[in-house]
Amino acid sequence: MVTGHETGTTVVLPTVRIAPLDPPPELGQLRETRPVTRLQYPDGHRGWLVTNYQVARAILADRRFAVHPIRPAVGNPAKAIENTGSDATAQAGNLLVSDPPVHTYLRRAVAGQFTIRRVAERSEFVSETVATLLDQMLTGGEPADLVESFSLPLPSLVLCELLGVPPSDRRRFEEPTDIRLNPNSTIEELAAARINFLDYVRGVIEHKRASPADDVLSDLARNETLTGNELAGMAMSLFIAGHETTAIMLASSVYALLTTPGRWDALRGDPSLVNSAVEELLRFLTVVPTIFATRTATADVDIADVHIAASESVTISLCAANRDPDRFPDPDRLDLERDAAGHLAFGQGIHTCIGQHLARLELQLGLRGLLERLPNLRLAVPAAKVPMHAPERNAYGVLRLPVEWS
Amino acid sequence: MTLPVTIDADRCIGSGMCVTTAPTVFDQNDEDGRALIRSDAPLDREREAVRQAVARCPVGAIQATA
Repeated sequence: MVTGHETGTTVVLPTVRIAPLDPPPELGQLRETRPVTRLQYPDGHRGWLVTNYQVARAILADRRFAVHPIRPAVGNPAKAIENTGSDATAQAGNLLVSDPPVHTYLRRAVAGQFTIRRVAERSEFVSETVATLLDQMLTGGEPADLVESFSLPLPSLVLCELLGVPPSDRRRFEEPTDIRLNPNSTIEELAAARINFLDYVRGVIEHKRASPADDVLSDLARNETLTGNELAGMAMSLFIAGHETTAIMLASSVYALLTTPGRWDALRGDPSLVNSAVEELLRFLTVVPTIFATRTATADVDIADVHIAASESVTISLCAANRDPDRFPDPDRLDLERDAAGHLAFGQGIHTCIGQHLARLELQLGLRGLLERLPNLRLAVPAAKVPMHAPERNAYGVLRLPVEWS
Repeated sequence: MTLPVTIDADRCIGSGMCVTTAPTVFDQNDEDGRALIRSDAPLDREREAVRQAVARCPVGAIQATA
C-alpha cells in the first residue's frame, strides 16, 4: 500500500482514506508535526508538501510559484500528463495549466461570462432544471441513483445551456470524463478519449463561428485574441470543469448530510441554512482534483521556516488545509452553521475557480430542491456500501448514490 | 478626493469575491469581470465589509487605506 510512509523526512503523498469523507489521516499528523515537509514525487524528484492552511493560502497567492513544469504528486506521471494533455496543443487555452502572461489574457477572455451578475441570470434555468430532473426521478420510482438522476445531469444540462450546445450532447463531454476518472483506463484509452473530445469541441466551435448565438462559446469564437488551439483548449476545459466537480460535490454533499446524524433534518427544519451549509460542505469535502494544487517555485522562497529553492515543486493539500484546526476550530465536525468562508475548495490566487459562483448556485438550488421535494430522502443501501471514486484519481467523492424517498 | 479603497486592475482576475462580500461597495465590469468601486458606495458604513473583501480577495488586489 502506497500511503504516506516515511523515508527519512521525505513522505509520499498519502491518498488512502480510512473514513470515506475525511482526508487520509497521515495528512492530519503531518499538519501537526511538519506542516511543510519533503515530498517524494512519482517522477523521482523531491519537492515539498504543504498541509497548513496559512502556508497553503500564501503559496497559492504568491506569484513566484508557477504551474509549469507540470509534475503530478501522485500516480503514473505519463498517465497523469495524458489526462491534461501532454503536448502544447492540448495545454493551450487551459487556464489551470497556464501561467502569466498567457493565463492573464486567457482568463480575461472568459471571466466576463462568470460574473456574479451573469451567473445570477442563470438561476431561473437552474431552478427549472432542478424541478424537471426531480419530476423525472420521482416518476422513475425508487430506488434511484442520485448521481445518474440528479447530481450529474444538473451541472451537465446547465453547461449545455451556458456553452450553447444541445442537451443531447451531454455524453460527448461526460464520456471522456468517465474514461479519465476510471482507474483502469489505459494511457491509450485516455489519449483516444481526449482526441475524440477535441474533435467534438472543434466541431462545436466551427458551428459557433458559422452561426453565433447568445452563449459562452459563441462569445469566445468571436474573440480574435485567442488562437484556434487556445479556443479549443479553453472550451475543453470549460466542458470538463463545468460538470465533473459539481456533480461529485452535489452527490457527496447529500451523502455527508444523510450519514452525519441530524444534518439532513437540521437543513429540512431550517432551509435558510442552505447557503452556509454549502460553504461548510465545500470546506469539509474539498472534492477538487489533487493535481491542480502542485506549483513550482520560480525563485528561492523562504516560508514557514523552510527554504524552497527555485525549480522545486510544492504540492498544496487543499483537503488538509481545509481541516486545519488553527483556521477552522473542530475541523472534522460538519457544522452547518459555521462561517466557512475563506476555505480553499475553489483554490486561491490567480487559478481560483472561474466557475465558483455557478457551482454555488447549482449546489444551493440543487439542495433546496431535494429538501423541498424529497424531504424523507435516505440512503437505499448501508453507508459503507456507497462506492467512492478511487482515491488517487482527479476528483474525490461519491461515485453512485442509491437513494429512496417515500 | 482619494478613495479609502483601491483596486489593482493588473492583479484583479475578476473572481467576484469582493462583490459577494461587500455588494454595496464593489461591482464587476461585464467585459472581463474585473472589480469596480460603485460610485454610490457607502464606504463610511461598510468599513468592516471592505476589510473582509480585502481579506477574501484571492489575489490581494484590493487595498483599503482607511
